[in-house]
Amino acid sequence: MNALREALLKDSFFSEFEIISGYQDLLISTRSWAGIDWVKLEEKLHAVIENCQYSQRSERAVIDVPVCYDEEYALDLISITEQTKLSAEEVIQLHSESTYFVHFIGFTIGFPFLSGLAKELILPRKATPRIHVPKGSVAIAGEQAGIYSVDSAGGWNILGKTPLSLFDVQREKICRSQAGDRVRFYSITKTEFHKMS
Amino acid sequence: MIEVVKAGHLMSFQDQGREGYRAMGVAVSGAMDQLCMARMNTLLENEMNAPVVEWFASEAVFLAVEGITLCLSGVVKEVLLNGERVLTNTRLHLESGDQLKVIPSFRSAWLYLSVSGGFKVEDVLGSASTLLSAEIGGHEGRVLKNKDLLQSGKRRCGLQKIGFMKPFASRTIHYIREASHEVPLNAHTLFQTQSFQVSAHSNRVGYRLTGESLLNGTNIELKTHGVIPGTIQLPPDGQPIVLMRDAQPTGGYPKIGYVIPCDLSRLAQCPQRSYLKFVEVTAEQAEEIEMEESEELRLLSVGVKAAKGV
Repeated sequence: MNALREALLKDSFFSEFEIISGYQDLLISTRSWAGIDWVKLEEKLHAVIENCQYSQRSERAVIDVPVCYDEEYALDLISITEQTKLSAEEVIQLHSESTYFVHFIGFTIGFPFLSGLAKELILPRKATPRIHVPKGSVAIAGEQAGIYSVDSAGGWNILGKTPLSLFDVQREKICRSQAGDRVRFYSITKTEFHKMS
Repeated sequence: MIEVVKAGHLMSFQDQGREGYRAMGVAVSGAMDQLCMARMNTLLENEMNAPVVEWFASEAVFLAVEGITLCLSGVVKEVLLNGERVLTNTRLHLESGDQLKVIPSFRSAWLYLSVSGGFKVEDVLGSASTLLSAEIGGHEGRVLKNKDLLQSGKRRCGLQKIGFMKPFASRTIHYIREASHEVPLNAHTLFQTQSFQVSAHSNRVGYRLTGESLLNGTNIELKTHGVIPGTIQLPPDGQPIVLMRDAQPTGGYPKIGYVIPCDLSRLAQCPQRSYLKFVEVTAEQAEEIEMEESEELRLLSVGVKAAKGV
């Protein structure tokens, strides 16, 4: 998906289009649809799909995300240990030793959908979603990991919090991560968390 | 300049929307009724993307701090200028100190105020639209409150008393079917043959429609994928959701189809508890409907130019 997305971004025919990535598909969208040659569009899409070099993985940024796994922020850690039958230390270790792949950003501004979660940590979404998940909460659900970038409702299991801001319109790099990047989590203490905030 | 004396519910600046940032999870936003906004800006000789003030079905009061030409649009019970009834959808000329009061009817939905010269709003990520969930854009990323002062540009249109005709809502909503077979066939049939009510749980993110369940216990989950305003989702409870302008760019529910752009504005104006029905169209038919709408707007533009000679 990512290779295809990059191929489309490079093709000047699609410069007027926005591309939204999903796990298994891409949505291309344009406001100026009137007068589009639909036949040519289909031909062009087929051409890009056929010529795309799928095996190539471009060198992308690795983003290191500090996480405080302290019980004050790890709202669902106890429930995670109960469901996975692992200790808190094991959960934290498994979560922070993986390197994750950013499939796309969605759900809210700057929320990265990550794959690469350790098998032992796979568990379902919460039966009843939380009405309020604090901004910065680091969470897992199913095979996915993610970071809540703004305060929102949410049903994923929260195991820590990051002081890093994922989205800031004032910053030159508005969104900290994008599809194709890699993410790693590392543990920090509460004191370090407050210093970084 | 205009002062907000009494802010309406969810009152915010909106324009044509914020394109180009969906890959960062930023919703498109923009006025819920794009057709209305286009007509107002045409009438006042503004740029089509000039921001407007939008709010939902509630009373609002504005005070002209200096002379200003504006237009009030939407379904209302009445609009009073210093206590006297005036028309919606027409150019209104206010002197400094004039007060405009908008009183909604039970059939009101989205209401709009536009000024000639447009409102001066700082662009964030290329647009003046407010995305409330992210606190981005518009007036400091928030809803407008009492005592807020709204800056406007120089008046661009003449003082002629002209206006436009506009039916706001439509009970027949055209949509294009989702090409992949995500939703069972009988759900499609049920969707097209029954009437739905706009539920009270409807807002800028999505309109929930209530009716007979389109699913009978089947739970279909899809991998998260891109969605756009107008996407008709079918969650497990079988009650469709039409994603509106503040919907996030990704979703996981199966899709029935996509409401065509101009009908999304008409759907937005359907008051809560009203009934509507969906009609499937092809892409070509959808283009024809959009062309009709463009033509009506073009005729208004012609009329506005002609009025200059009067």
